[in-house]
Amino acid sequence: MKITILEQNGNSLRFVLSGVSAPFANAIRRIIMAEVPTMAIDDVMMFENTSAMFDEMITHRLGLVPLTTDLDTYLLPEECDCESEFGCNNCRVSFTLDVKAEAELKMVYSGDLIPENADVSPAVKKIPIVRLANNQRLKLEAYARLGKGLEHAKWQPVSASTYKFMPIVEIDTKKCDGCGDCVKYCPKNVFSIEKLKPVVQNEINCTLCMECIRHCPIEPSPIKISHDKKTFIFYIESTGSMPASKLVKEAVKILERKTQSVIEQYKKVK
Amino acid sequence: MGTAEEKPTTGIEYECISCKEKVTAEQLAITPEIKCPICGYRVLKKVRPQIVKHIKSR
Repeated sequence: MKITILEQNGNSLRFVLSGVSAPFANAIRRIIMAEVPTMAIDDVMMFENTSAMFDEMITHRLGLVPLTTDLDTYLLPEECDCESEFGCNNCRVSFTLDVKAEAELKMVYSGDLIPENADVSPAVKKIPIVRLANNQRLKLEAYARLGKGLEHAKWQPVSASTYKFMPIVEIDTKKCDGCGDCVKYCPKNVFSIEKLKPVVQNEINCTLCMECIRHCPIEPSPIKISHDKKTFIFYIESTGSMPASKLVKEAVKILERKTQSVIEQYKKVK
Repeated sequence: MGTAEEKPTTGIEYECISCKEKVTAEQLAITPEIKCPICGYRVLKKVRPQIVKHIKSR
Protein backbone atom coordinates (compact mmCIF):
# COMPACT_ATOMS: atom_id res chain seq x y z
CA MET A 1 0.00 0.00 0.00
CA LYS A 2 1.36 3.40 -0.92
CA ILE A 3 0.15 7.00 -0.83
CA THR A 4 1.52 9.70 -3.14
CA ILE A 5 0.27 13.26 -2.77
CA LEU A 6 -0.31 14.90 -6.16
CA GLU A 7 -1.42 18.34 -5.05
CA GLN A 8 -2.49 20.11 -1.89
CA ASN A 9 -4.06 23.61 -2.09
CA GLY A 10 -5.64 25.07 1.02
CA ASN A 11 -8.63 22.86 1.68
CA SER A 12 -8.31 20.44 -1.23
CA LEU A 13 -6.12 17.39 -1.55
CA ARG A 14 -5.46 15.07 -4.49
CA PHE A 15 -3.51 11.87 -3.81
CA VAL A 16 -2.91 8.42 -5.24
CA LEU A 17 -3.64 5.37 -3.09
CA SER A 18 -2.13 2.23 -4.61
CA GLY A 19 -2.13 -1.43 -3.62
CA VAL A 20 -5.66 -1.55 -2.17
CA SER A 21 -8.94 -3.07 -3.28
CA ALA A 22 -11.97 -1.08 -4.42
CA PRO A 23 -14.03 -1.84 -1.26
CA PHE A 24 -11.22 -0.46 0.89
CA ALA A 25 -10.98 2.76 -1.13
CA ASN A 26 -14.77 3.09 -1.05
CA ALA A 27 -14.82 2.60 2.71
CA ILE A 28 -12.34 5.45 3.15
CA ARG A 29 -14.39 7.66 0.82
CA ARG A 30 -17.66 6.95 2.66
CA ILE A 31 -16.19 7.38 6.12
CA ILE A 32 -14.73 10.78 5.19
CA MET A 33 -18.18 11.91 4.07
CA ALA A 34 -20.42 10.46 6.73
CA GLU A 35 -18.53 9.41 9.83
CA VAL A 36 -15.74 11.88 10.58
CA PRO A 37 -17.20 14.14 13.30
CA THR A 38 -17.45 17.90 12.69
CA MET A 39 -18.77 20.89 14.59
CA ALA A 40 -22.01 22.52 13.51
CA ILE A 41 -24.69 24.63 15.19
CA ASP A 42 -27.56 22.47 16.44
CA ASP A 43 -29.59 24.58 18.90
CA VAL A 44 -30.54 28.24 18.67
CA MET A 45 -32.17 30.43 21.33
CA MET A 46 -33.92 33.22 19.48
CA PHE A 47 -34.21 36.43 21.48
CA GLU A 48 -35.27 38.84 18.79
CA ASN A 49 -35.99 38.38 15.10
CA THR A 50 -37.68 41.22 13.25
CA SER A 51 -36.09 40.27 9.93
CA ALA A 52 -37.91 39.13 6.79
CA MET A 53 -36.91 35.47 7.31
CA PHE A 54 -38.69 33.32 9.86
CA ASP A 55 -36.90 31.75 12.86
CA GLU A 56 -36.62 28.17 11.56
CA MET A 57 -35.21 29.28 8.22
CA ILE A 58 -32.51 31.38 9.88
CA THR A 59 -31.53 28.57 12.26
CA HIS A 60 -31.41 26.13 9.32
CA ARG A 61 -28.99 28.46 7.54
CA LEU A 62 -26.88 28.84 10.69
CA GLY A 63 -26.68 25.07 11.03
CA LEU A 64 -25.16 24.81 7.56
CA VAL A 65 -22.30 27.26 8.29
CA PRO A 66 -19.01 25.26 8.41
CA LEU A 67 -17.13 25.69 11.71
CA THR A 68 -13.44 24.99 12.36
CA THR A 69 -13.28 21.80 14.38
CA ASP A 70 -10.88 20.57 17.03
CA LEU A 71 -11.49 16.86 17.50
CA ASP A 72 -9.07 16.52 20.43
CA THR A 73 -10.77 19.01 22.74
CA TYR A 74 -14.41 18.13 22.25
CA LEU A 75 -16.39 14.91 22.55
CA LEU A 76 -19.37 13.59 20.69
CA PRO A 77 -22.48 14.10 22.85
CA GLU A 78 -23.03 10.31 22.93
CA GLU A 79 -19.60 9.87 24.48
CA CYS A 80 -19.73 12.77 26.94
CA ASP A 81 -20.28 11.97 30.63
CA CYS A 82 -22.63 14.88 31.26
CA GLU A 83 -25.57 13.21 29.46
CA SER A 84 -27.45 16.49 29.59
CA GLU A 85 -29.70 17.67 26.80
CA PHE A 86 -27.84 20.92 26.26
CA GLY A 87 -24.34 19.61 26.88
CA CYS A 88 -21.47 20.87 28.99
CA ASN A 89 -18.19 22.58 28.25
CA ASN A 90 -16.71 19.37 26.86
CA CYS A 91 -19.27 18.74 24.19
CA ARG A 92 -20.78 22.10 23.30
CA VAL A 93 -19.60 25.54 22.09
CA SER A 94 -21.76 28.65 22.12
CA PHE A 95 -21.98 31.62 19.76
CA THR A 96 -23.74 34.94 20.01
CA LEU A 97 -25.11 37.04 17.21
CA ASP A 98 -26.55 40.54 17.62
CA VAL A 99 -26.95 42.64 14.49
CA LYS A 100 -29.21 45.65 14.03
CA ALA A 101 -29.70 47.58 10.82
CA GLU A 102 -29.76 51.33 11.40
CA ALA A 103 -30.51 53.67 8.53
CA GLU A 104 -29.55 51.48 5.57
CA LEU A 105 -29.77 47.81 4.51
CA LYS A 106 -27.40 45.50 6.33
CA MET A 107 -26.43 41.91 5.54
CA VAL A 108 -25.83 39.51 8.42
CA TYR A 109 -22.79 37.37 7.61
CA SER A 110 -21.48 34.15 9.17
CA GLY A 111 -18.58 36.25 10.49
CA ASP A 112 -21.02 38.04 12.81
CA LEU A 113 -21.31 34.86 14.87
CA ILE A 114 -19.06 35.54 17.86
CA PRO A 115 -17.67 32.33 19.37
CA GLU A 116 -17.01 31.85 23.08
CA ASN A 117 -13.85 29.97 22.09
CA ALA A 118 -11.84 31.12 19.09
CA ASP A 119 -10.83 27.54 18.19
CA VAL A 120 -14.33 26.81 16.95
CA SER A 121 -15.41 29.67 14.69
CA PRO A 122 -16.97 30.01 11.24
CA ALA A 123 -14.52 28.71 8.62
CA VAL A 124 -15.73 31.26 6.08
CA LYS A 125 -16.73 34.72 7.31
CA LYS A 126 -18.67 36.02 4.34
CA ILE A 127 -21.58 33.58 4.09
CA PRO A 128 -24.75 35.72 3.98
CA ILE A 129 -27.39 34.66 6.51
CA VAL A 130 -30.18 37.21 6.15
CA ARG A 131 -30.55 40.80 5.01
CA LEU A 132 -31.90 43.34 7.48
CA ALA A 133 -33.81 46.46 6.52
CA ASN A 134 -34.19 49.65 8.52
CA ASN A 135 -34.66 49.03 12.27
CA GLN A 136 -34.75 45.24 11.93
CA ARG A 137 -32.76 43.28 14.44
CA LEU A 138 -31.49 39.72 14.82
CA LYS A 139 -30.39 38.62 18.27
CA LEU A 140 -29.72 35.01 19.15
CA GLU A 141 -27.52 32.52 20.95
CA ALA A 142 -26.41 29.41 19.07
CA TYR A 143 -24.97 26.16 20.43
CA ALA A 144 -22.75 23.95 18.30
CA ARG A 145 -21.91 20.33 18.91
CA LEU A 146 -19.99 17.52 17.25
CA GLY A 147 -21.93 15.27 14.93
CA LYS A 148 -21.58 13.00 11.93
CA GLY A 149 -22.73 13.39 8.35
CA LEU A 150 -24.90 10.28 8.87
CA GLU A 151 -27.21 12.26 11.13
CA HIS A 152 -27.54 15.50 9.13
CA ALA A 153 -25.77 16.90 6.07
CA LYS A 154 -24.55 19.95 8.01
CA TRP A 155 -22.07 17.65 9.77
CA GLN A 156 -20.49 16.58 6.50
CA PRO A 157 -16.88 17.86 6.62
CA VAL A 158 -16.33 17.75 2.84
CA SER A 159 -17.85 19.27 -0.24
CA ALA A 160 -16.20 16.59 -2.43
CA SER A 161 -14.94 13.12 -1.55
CA THR A 162 -14.35 11.11 -4.72
CA TYR A 163 -11.94 8.72 -6.34
CA LYS A 164 -11.33 7.26 -9.78
CA PHE A 165 -9.27 4.40 -11.08
CA MET A 166 -5.77 5.10 -12.40
CA PRO A 167 -6.15 5.06 -16.21
CA ILE A 168 -3.79 3.14 -18.50
CA VAL A 169 -3.62 4.62 -22.02
CA GLU A 170 -1.47 2.98 -24.67
CA ILE A 171 -1.08 3.64 -28.39
CA ASP A 172 0.34 1.16 -30.85
CA THR A 173 1.93 3.71 -33.20
CA LYS A 174 2.73 1.08 -35.86
CA LYS A 175 -1.00 0.59 -36.57
CA CYS A 176 -1.85 4.32 -36.27
CA ASP A 177 -2.37 6.42 -39.44
CA GLY A 178 -1.68 9.77 -37.74
CA CYS A 179 -5.11 11.35 -38.49
CA GLY A 180 -5.07 13.25 -35.19
CA ASP A 181 -8.77 12.72 -34.36
CA CYS A 182 -7.97 11.37 -30.91
CA VAL A 183 -6.09 14.59 -30.10
CA LYS A 184 -9.02 16.66 -31.37
CA TYR A 185 -11.83 14.81 -29.58
CA CYS A 186 -10.25 14.04 -26.23
CA PRO A 187 -11.99 16.29 -23.65
CA LYS A 188 -9.06 16.08 -21.26
CA ASN A 189 -6.09 16.66 -23.63
CA VAL A 190 -4.61 13.25 -22.91
CA PHE A 191 -2.94 13.09 -26.35
CA SER A 192 -0.68 15.37 -28.33
CA ILE A 193 1.01 15.05 -31.72
CA GLU A 194 4.74 14.40 -31.85
CA LYS A 195 6.49 13.60 -35.11
CA LEU A 196 3.09 13.12 -36.88
CA LYS A 197 1.95 10.42 -34.43
CA PRO A 198 -0.14 10.83 -31.27
CA VAL A 199 1.59 10.39 -27.92
CA VAL A 200 0.14 10.14 -24.43
CA GLN A 201 1.13 13.32 -22.60
CA ASN A 202 -1.37 13.45 -19.75
CA GLU A 203 -2.40 9.91 -18.85
CA ILE A 204 -3.61 10.73 -15.34
CA ASN A 205 -6.34 13.12 -16.60
CA CYS A 206 -8.09 10.45 -18.65
CA THR A 207 -11.69 9.84 -17.56
CA LEU A 208 -12.06 6.56 -19.53
CA CYS A 209 -14.74 8.16 -21.72
CA MET A 210 -13.49 6.27 -24.84
CA GLU A 211 -14.16 9.19 -27.21
CA CYS A 212 -10.72 8.66 -28.79
CA ILE A 213 -11.55 5.06 -29.67
CA ARG A 214 -15.00 6.06 -30.93
CA HIS A 215 -13.53 8.60 -33.37
CA CYS A 216 -10.54 6.50 -34.40
CA PRO A 217 -10.96 5.48 -38.08
CA ILE A 218 -9.02 2.22 -37.62
CA GLU A 219 -10.76 -0.85 -36.28
CA PRO A 220 -9.67 -2.39 -33.93
CA SER A 221 -8.23 0.88 -32.66
CA PRO A 222 -4.49 1.11 -31.93
CA ILE A 223 -5.49 3.01 -28.76
CA LYS A 224 -5.94 0.79 -25.71
CA ILE A 225 -7.77 2.26 -22.70
CA SER A 226 -7.92 0.29 -19.48
CA HIS A 227 -7.52 0.94 -15.77
CA ASP A 228 -5.48 -0.32 -12.85
CA LYS A 229 -7.92 -2.01 -10.48
CA LYS A 230 -5.70 -1.51 -7.45
CA THR A 231 -4.75 2.14 -7.80
CA PHE A 232 -7.07 5.06 -6.96
CA ILE A 233 -6.78 8.80 -7.43
CA PHE A 234 -8.61 10.51 -4.57
CA TYR A 235 -9.85 14.09 -4.51
CA ILE A 236 -10.92 15.42 -1.10
CA GLU A 237 -12.20 18.98 -0.67
CA SER A 238 -12.86 20.09 2.89
CA THR A 239 -15.45 22.78 3.75
CA GLY A 240 -12.93 24.39 6.12
CA SER A 241 -13.67 22.42 9.29
CA MET A 242 -10.36 20.57 9.16
CA PRO A 243 -7.56 20.35 6.60
CA ALA A 244 -8.22 17.59 4.05
CA SER A 245 -5.17 15.58 5.13
CA LYS A 246 -6.50 15.47 8.70
CA LEU A 247 -9.84 14.18 7.40
CA VAL A 248 -8.14 11.25 5.69
CA LYS A 249 -6.17 10.41 8.85
CA GLU A 250 -9.32 10.50 11.00
CA ALA A 251 -11.18 8.34 8.48
CA VAL A 252 -8.45 5.71 8.66
CA LYS A 253 -8.63 5.73 12.49
CA ILE A 254 -12.40 5.23 12.35
CA LEU A 255 -12.06 2.39 9.83
CA GLU A 256 -9.52 0.72 12.09
CA ARG A 257 -11.88 1.02 15.08
CA LYS A 258 -14.73 -0.50 13.11
CA THR A 259 -12.72 -3.49 11.90
CA GLN A 260 -11.43 -4.04 15.46
CA SER A 261 -14.97 -4.18 16.81
CA VAL A 262 -15.97 -6.66 14.11
CA ILE A 263 -12.99 -8.87 14.98
CA GLU A 264 -13.90 -8.73 18.68
CA GLN A 265 -17.51 -9.69 18.00
CA TYR A 266 -16.33 -12.55 15.81
CA LYS A 267 -14.06 -13.84 18.56
CA LYS A 268 -16.95 -13.82 21.04
CA VAL A 269 -19.20 -15.82 18.72
CA LYS A 270 -16.47 -18.25 17.78
CA MET B 1 -66.04 49.23 50.46
CA GLY B 2 -64.11 46.28 49.13
CA THR B 3 -60.84 46.16 47.27
CA ALA B 4 -60.98 46.25 43.45
CA GLU B 5 -60.71 42.87 41.69
CA GLU B 6 -57.38 42.16 40.03
CA LYS B 7 -57.87 40.45 36.67
CA PRO B 8 -54.72 38.64 35.42
CA THR B 9 -53.41 40.32 32.25
CA THR B 10 -52.63 38.07 29.28
CA GLY B 11 -49.75 40.27 28.15
CA ILE B 12 -50.72 39.94 24.46
CA GLU B 13 -50.01 43.22 22.67
CA TYR B 14 -51.07 44.60 19.33
CA GLU B 15 -49.75 47.56 17.35
CA CYS B 16 -51.86 49.90 15.24
CA ILE B 17 -50.61 50.15 11.66
CA SER B 18 -51.21 53.89 11.25
CA CYS B 19 -50.41 55.53 14.61
CA LYS B 20 -48.00 52.79 15.78
CA GLU B 21 -49.31 52.80 19.38
CA LYS B 22 -49.27 49.59 21.43
CA VAL B 23 -52.67 48.26 22.55
CA THR B 24 -53.27 45.31 24.89
CA ALA B 25 -55.81 42.55 24.29
CA GLU B 26 -57.92 43.81 27.21
CA GLN B 27 -58.18 47.32 25.72
CA LEU B 28 -59.39 45.81 22.43
CA ALA B 29 -61.99 43.69 24.24
CA ILE B 30 -63.74 46.87 25.54
CA THR B 31 -65.57 47.63 22.27
CA PRO B 32 -67.21 44.83 20.23
CA GLU B 33 -65.45 45.93 17.04
CA ILE B 34 -61.64 45.71 16.73
CA LYS B 35 -60.23 49.22 16.37
CA CYS B 36 -57.35 51.26 17.71
CA PRO B 37 -58.63 53.26 20.75
CA ILE B 38 -56.39 56.21 19.82
CA CYS B 39 -56.89 56.83 16.12
CA GLY B 40 -59.77 54.47 15.31
CA TYR B 41 -57.92 52.55 12.52
CA ARG B 42 -59.20 48.99 12.14
CA VAL B 43 -56.01 47.17 11.12
CA LEU B 44 -53.72 45.99 13.93
CA LYS B 45 -50.57 43.92 13.95
CA LYS B 46 -49.61 41.41 16.66
CA VAL B 47 -46.36 42.27 18.43
CA ARG B 48 -44.03 39.28 18.86
CA PRO B 49 -44.03 38.23 22.55
CA GLN B 50 -40.79 38.60 24.50
CA ILE B 51 -40.27 34.87 24.91
CA VAL B 52 -36.95 33.17 24.17
CA LYS B 53 -37.70 30.53 21.56
CA HIS B 54 -35.57 27.39 21.31
CA ILE B 55 -35.23 26.06 17.77
CA LYS B 56 -33.35 23.07 16.42
CA SER B 57 -31.14 23.74 13.38
CA ARG B 58 -32.37 20.84 11.33
